Parts: sequence; C-alpha cells; structure tokens
Amino acid sequence: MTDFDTSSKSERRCAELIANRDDEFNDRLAAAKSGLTVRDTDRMLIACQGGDREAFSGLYRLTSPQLFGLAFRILRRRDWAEEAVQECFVTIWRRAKDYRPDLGPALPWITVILRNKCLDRLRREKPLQPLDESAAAERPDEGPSPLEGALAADDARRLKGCVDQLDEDQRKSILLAYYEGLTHEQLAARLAAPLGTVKSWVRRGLQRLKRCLES
Amino acid sequence: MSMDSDDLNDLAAEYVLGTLAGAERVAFEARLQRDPAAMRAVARWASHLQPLADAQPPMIPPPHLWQRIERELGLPSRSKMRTPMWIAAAVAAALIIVAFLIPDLMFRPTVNSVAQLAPQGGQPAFVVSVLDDQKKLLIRAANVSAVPNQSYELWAVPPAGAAPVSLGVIAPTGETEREVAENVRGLLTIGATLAVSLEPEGGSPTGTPTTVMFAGTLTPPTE
Repeated sequence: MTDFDTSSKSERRCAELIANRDDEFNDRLAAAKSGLTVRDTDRMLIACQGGDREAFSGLYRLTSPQLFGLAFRILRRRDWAEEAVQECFVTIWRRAKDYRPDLGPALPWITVILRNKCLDRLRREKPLQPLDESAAAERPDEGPSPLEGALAADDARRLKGCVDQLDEDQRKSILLAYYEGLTHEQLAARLAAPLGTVKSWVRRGLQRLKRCLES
Repeated sequence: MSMDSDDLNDLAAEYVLGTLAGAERVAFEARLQRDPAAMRAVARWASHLQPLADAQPPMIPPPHLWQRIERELGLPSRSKMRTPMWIAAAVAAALIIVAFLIPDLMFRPTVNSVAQLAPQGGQPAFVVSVLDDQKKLLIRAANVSAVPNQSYELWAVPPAGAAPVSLGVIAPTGETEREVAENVRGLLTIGATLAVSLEPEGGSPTGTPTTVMFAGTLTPPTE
C-alpha cells in the first residue's frame, strides 16, 4: 500500500509538472530573463575548469536549491541531503575538467554526480532507512526553479509524453529507481515481483524511453 | 556493433538511473574514464532524464553548507578571508578603544558642575565644566563667532551683588582649559552664575565686565 502510494507520488509529481507547464514555463522564462539560464551553469562550470572560484560559488548559488531538493527527495533526511550536496560540489570542483561541453549541458552532468552521491549514501546505510514522512512534511513551499532556461519545459513535456507511453510496471520501476534510488533487488521487494521480471521492466522501459525520446 | 552499442546504451541508462549496482557499477565507472562512447551514452541519458530532476521542488540549503564545501576544499575564498579579517579588525578596534578608554577611565577628571552660557533666550554659546573640585575649568565654544579685535572673558558672578570675578579670556573656538585660582574656587558651586563678556582684545581693561553677552548657572553634571 505504502509502496504504491510512493510510486504514484512520483508519478503525480511528473503529472503536476506537465499540468503546471504553462506556469512553470512563464516562471522559467522570467528566470531566464533575469539572467539565470542553463547557459549560465555551462559557462560557470567551464570557468571552474580554470579554477575560477567566483564561478564556482555562482554555480553553487544557482544550482544548489534544485540539487538539495532532489537529494532530499531521494534521501529523505536533511543531514544526508546536505552531505550529498557537499560531496557533489567537492567533486564538481575537483573534477570540473572531466566535464565535456560538447557532450551536453552542465546541469545533467552535475545531476549525475549528485545522484551518485545519494545512491552511495543509500547503499552504504543498511538496512535502508524507512521513509521519513515528517521530514518530507518540512519541505518548504514549492517555488519556481531558478534553474534552466525556457528550454526545459519542452524537454519535460517530451519526457512526460514518453514516460506516459510506458507500461505501468515499467514506469513505476523507473520512477522509483530515479526518485528513491532503489536497486533491482529493492524494486523486486517493493513491487513484489521476481528479480528477473523487474530487471526486464527497467531495461525495456529505458529502451522504449530512448526510442521515444530520440524519435 | 549494433549489439555492442545497444549493450552500452543499456549500461549507460541503468548507470544514470542508478539501477546498475555493485561490481557492475564499479566496472562501468572505470570504463567511463577511458571510453568516449560510454561518456557520450551517459551524457545523452543524463540529458534525457534531467527533467525528472527539474520536476523536484527546490529547497534552499542551510547557509553553512557552502562554508563546509569551501572548508573541505581548502579554498581561501573571499568569504573565508573575510572572517579572520573582520575578527582582526574588530580586535584592533577593541584594542584601540581600550587603549583610549583605560587612560580616560583612570584619568578622567571628576566633573563637579556644568553651565551652559547662552544669550537671553538663545542657544548656548559656551559650555563650561567645573572639574576636579573646582581646580579646573574646561570651556567649550559651542555656538559663537570670533569678533575682530575683541576677546571673550569668563566671569564668576557671586551672589548678593558682589563684583564678578574674572576667570580669564577664553577662546571663541575649540576648548580652553583653565586652572582656577584658589581664592575663586569657592565661587564655583552648584547654582552659581557664570557669564561671558565681550571685551577689548586682551580682556577687560577695568576689571569688570564690559558687555555681558552670555550667562548661565552651574548645575550638577548629567552623568
């Protein structure tokens, strides 16, 4: 029951994103006009490669609220989320040179680092902590993301459209893995399905997503 | 070839999603360091799934988080420099204050009384403090202008119509400190009247005030 609630919560978030698309689009447009665009994060990260501390602190100011929100979503504990964001920015600074602007924008590169820190933490802690719903309740009001330019709304719409085309099990597996950092084994336990079946849900779901996104 | 790239795509997708775990994840991360195709595949999937991250509501991290990051990286950033410099400045300021305060506290004269000498119905022109058991006067010019070829002279005005006693010529600007002759000290009690007259340069030629300009009464100091 709880499992189902959790997964549908993720789906609800996705649905809300699309439902609020116009609002979010406008908010992001406003953010873009005030100079906070995805291109800023790219430029700042590139500047970090040259050791520009000003750019590094700018990158932190620009991206940390979104990253902290995501870390809290995955870890459900403020202290862990803080540590994940800290580890993330330490890695960004030390490995900025690994960022390849020709392969894609900065933010997804940063998000991969952050989620890896979160996953490391989750997998280090045994057994997995129960969801901290009281911590979830302290989440502040949702404000517009200062991140991304107006581009993001299109990407979100596209992804949502493709996620909607997935089978229920595939969609649930992928969203749970993304937002709760569940492994195949944990997914199998959560969804009460054999491990092999869950692996195939994830793999096939991702393959369908790719076909949809790149079509 | 096609199978390879499909496999790579699956691995990259599960790496970014996070379902790739344990030894497989470690192995893939090692491959990621040297395989440009793997890097490309991961970058592509990272961009594909980024809207899921964007969909989360942002939360403002606590202010100390940035300091922790700077500290861990050992970045002598401006904000890190600012703290010690601020402390140093504060300490220096405190020392300066103490340096001035200690002598001031130790040698601060006792103020016996104060008089504000003003024209009738006007603002004080001089403020006179009686210090150290009437041994000293401190005269502060407040709101008065110098008159060419003229001097201001301070007087103690005894009660009961006795003749005013000169306390000397005083400067129309800044502060004048004045020793009080022993025989005059008794006049500088609370309630006594002080006056300033305008005199020919150098002071009253007659020993009495020529034109009294300002007057006031000695009152206990407010502090």
